Amino acid sequence: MYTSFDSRLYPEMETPTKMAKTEFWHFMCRSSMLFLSIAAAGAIGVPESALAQRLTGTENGEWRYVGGDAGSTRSSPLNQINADNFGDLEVAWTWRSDNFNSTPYYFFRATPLYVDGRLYTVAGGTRRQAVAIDPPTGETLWTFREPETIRFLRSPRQAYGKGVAYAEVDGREVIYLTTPGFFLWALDAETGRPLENWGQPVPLDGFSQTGVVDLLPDLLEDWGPWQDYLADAGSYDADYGIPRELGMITSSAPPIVVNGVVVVLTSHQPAYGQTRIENVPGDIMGFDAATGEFLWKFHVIPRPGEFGHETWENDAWYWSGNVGQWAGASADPDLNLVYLVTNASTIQSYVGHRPGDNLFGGSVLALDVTTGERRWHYQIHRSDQWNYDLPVPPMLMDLTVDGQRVPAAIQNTKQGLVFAFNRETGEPIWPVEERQVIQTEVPGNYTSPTQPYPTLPEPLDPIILSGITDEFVIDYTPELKEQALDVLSGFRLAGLYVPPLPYDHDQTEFINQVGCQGAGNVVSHPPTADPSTGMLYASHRRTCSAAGYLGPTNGEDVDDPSYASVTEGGATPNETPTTGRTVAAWAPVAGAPRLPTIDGLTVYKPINNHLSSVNLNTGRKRWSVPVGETPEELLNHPLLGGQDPETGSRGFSIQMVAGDLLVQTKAYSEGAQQIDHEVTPMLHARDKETGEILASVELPAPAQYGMMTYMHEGKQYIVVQIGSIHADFPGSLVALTLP
Amino acid sequence: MEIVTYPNQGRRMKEFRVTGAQRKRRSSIGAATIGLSMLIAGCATASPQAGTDPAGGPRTADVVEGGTQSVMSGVFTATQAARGQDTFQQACSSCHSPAEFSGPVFQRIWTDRSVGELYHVISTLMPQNNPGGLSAEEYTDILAFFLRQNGYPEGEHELQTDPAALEQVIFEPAS
Repeated sequence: MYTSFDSRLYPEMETPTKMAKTEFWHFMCRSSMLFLSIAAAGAIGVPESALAQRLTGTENGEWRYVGGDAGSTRSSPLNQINADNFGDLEVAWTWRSDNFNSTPYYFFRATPLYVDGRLYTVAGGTRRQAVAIDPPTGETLWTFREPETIRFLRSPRQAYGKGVAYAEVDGREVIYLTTPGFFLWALDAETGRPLENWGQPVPLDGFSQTGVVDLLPDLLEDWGPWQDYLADAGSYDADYGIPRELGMITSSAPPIVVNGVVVVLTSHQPAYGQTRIENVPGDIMGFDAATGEFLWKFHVIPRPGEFGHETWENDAWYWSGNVGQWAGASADPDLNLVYLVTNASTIQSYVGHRPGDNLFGGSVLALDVTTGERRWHYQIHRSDQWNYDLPVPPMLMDLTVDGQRVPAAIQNTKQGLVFAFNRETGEPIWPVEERQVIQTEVPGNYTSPTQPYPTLPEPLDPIILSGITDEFVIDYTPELKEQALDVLSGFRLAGLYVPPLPYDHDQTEFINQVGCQGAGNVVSHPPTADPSTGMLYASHRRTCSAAGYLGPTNGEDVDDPSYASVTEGGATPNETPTTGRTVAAWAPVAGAPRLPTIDGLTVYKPINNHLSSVNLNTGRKRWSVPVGETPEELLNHPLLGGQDPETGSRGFSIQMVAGDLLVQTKAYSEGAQQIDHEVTPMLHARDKETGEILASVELPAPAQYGMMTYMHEGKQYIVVQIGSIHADFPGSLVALTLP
Repeated sequence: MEIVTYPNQGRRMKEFRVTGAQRKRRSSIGAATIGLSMLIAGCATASPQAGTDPAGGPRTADVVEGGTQSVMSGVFTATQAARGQDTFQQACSSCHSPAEFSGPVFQRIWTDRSVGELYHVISTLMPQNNPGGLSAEEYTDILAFFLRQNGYPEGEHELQTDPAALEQVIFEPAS
């Protein structure tokens, strides 16, 4: 059952007339951009043959967006640092975040911007202070900290700040920041002061009279449960935010500014930790970059009469929430489109209270930045119950597919599937197959009968297609394979979308169900692409496991102690209790039989960390290399018979394309977890064609989340986000440059 | 060559051959294969008929009567549970909520099963990106945190990190 293009999904596609107009405009913009790019390239000596393929953002040695260019490819054409001199790199400076928290914080999630001679980012920890840094010295130029509010203290995403946005508006250079308290700030990029004549005064102690917008009133104003609350004598408390019973909203990804519009992204308490079914939807809002005026709002949970409303049965659209966009956004200014990716709706384990496919959860959304209207969308997975929320924005670049130039949007996933779309139309570049998936056996729950699988590009790890089939069973010796097959014979096997069984599952036919994931939470080890060639580079690891149980709650839940109640004295950081009123009928409970290991070995061929390259022009995988050495305990395992499974070492590869190099290093953290790094952390220059390491330099601590590069006064720098709990090294930025 | 049999859901008997080299890799609770058998045997007790199924798992009636402790008898300390909460927050909360490890359904599933069995599961399979990557103390602290979450009483002594000792601590409903 192959569907190359599902018109049902795109009923509001542009008419031919409008398409023609758009294409003409696109062509004109592209032509002028090509000219500008050539001029810029000439100025800094960048020999790149196909400049028009790269979206704006990295001209003149800049890194204007968190993802480098507006297309989030995490790449730059800069090539002063090359394979010959990479080994000479020295630390120019280290910017440490110790003093931006009450306690040292060991993570640095935000990738800085470099624009017009300054670096901008947010300090690594919970305070999420905006900072400007001097590019050649690392000196702090200014800092900005939002006054404390209870709603900030209640935010479950304080430490998850991924950066800031930049724009020039009416001759003013402006840094835009969204905060855990859910305010939007416009700061003077030169001084860090709140921008004059911008936004609305916030009636709270310490807030400036300008440069800020309280995002909550605009978000809540047309939301039914909020209107019910007001009608029931409730009132707005700008300090506390939304009452717990209604919901909690925050922000972790920076906004993105496109053609004079600031697009604000939302996030929530992680949906796997929720127990109650009500929350506030993470609607996407646009504000005038010049004034802070509210422009539009896109309902991520469609209201009556809106496209996709019917995908929410049981009237769940009214009280369901989440569907935030924590991963960040991409944009094509020429198409006037912003591209966002969404999380699941409230509670992503049992969804019987909100049966249906739940648009626009788990989707790529392309919105017109002037109106907020949906140009196209694609639902990557329906009714997410697997914590598959989309972890990175789509990478935008132009490809050449079968001789035709295609403006593309490439979506990487936790699953390990890679989706490729025409970013103007949303049409998949290659056919997408609808595959039947295992259905839930939990009474009252809902699972979609099928889920989409791209035929191309190839998945990063083929095990996700059908699970631990024979070719993936560990087989280094015949005896080992026999044992593994023996273990597996008790389980029901599949690839993705394996639902949890009810706690009283009858084990006559099978003990439990085993599924596989092929990439992991790639927010902390994002993919990169080379727009000059159309090559994708992505880090991935293989995980197969048996699902946990769902158990009946009988309407009772236990507050996560990490999210304790706010007391009269205020709140301590990161304490947001489960929102809502109604406890879901079923919740995850430990105790299901897990997939056993054989003397410490997985029953499937392990991949700790591979770095793979996919030619996006053909959709075909080019190569896959292990990152790091196979751990000793595996290499010397007696059951492996002396074979090296080439798993790579534990951890995650972080990469960036810079000129002719694939700059790559190893991270040892994912989310709040950090693995002890047993080897000296190294930054490598790899061959873009083969993945081979050409040169390496030491890093002061392991990398995290990402890196960037810029050219300042004729000198190229590479900045890596680093930090380690195990080495007591706070979240920091280290800048490397040539002597 | 050693053949170890273990019960599988009280219905099927499996055989694993354990080599001498494998035996060298055994932890203090015995071969990982035995750990595997305990894992599966534990699953058996979760099935409705398992309570009456003397399938030969590590928990037999006389073992239970000989020197076991109930989770109701104060088997962990408040300090240990607080440490465990911190560790859980850092190492587990990216994927798990503490609610999965507490409450009436959790207690029903785990009744008559040992804390050592839960130790074995989390210490061999978790965290998913680094199985076995925490220290024995950290895994045990996390278990103390789970016990506190369930409302089991705190005691004067910490839960021991010795897996064999943990095998002797048996779950029962909190009320």
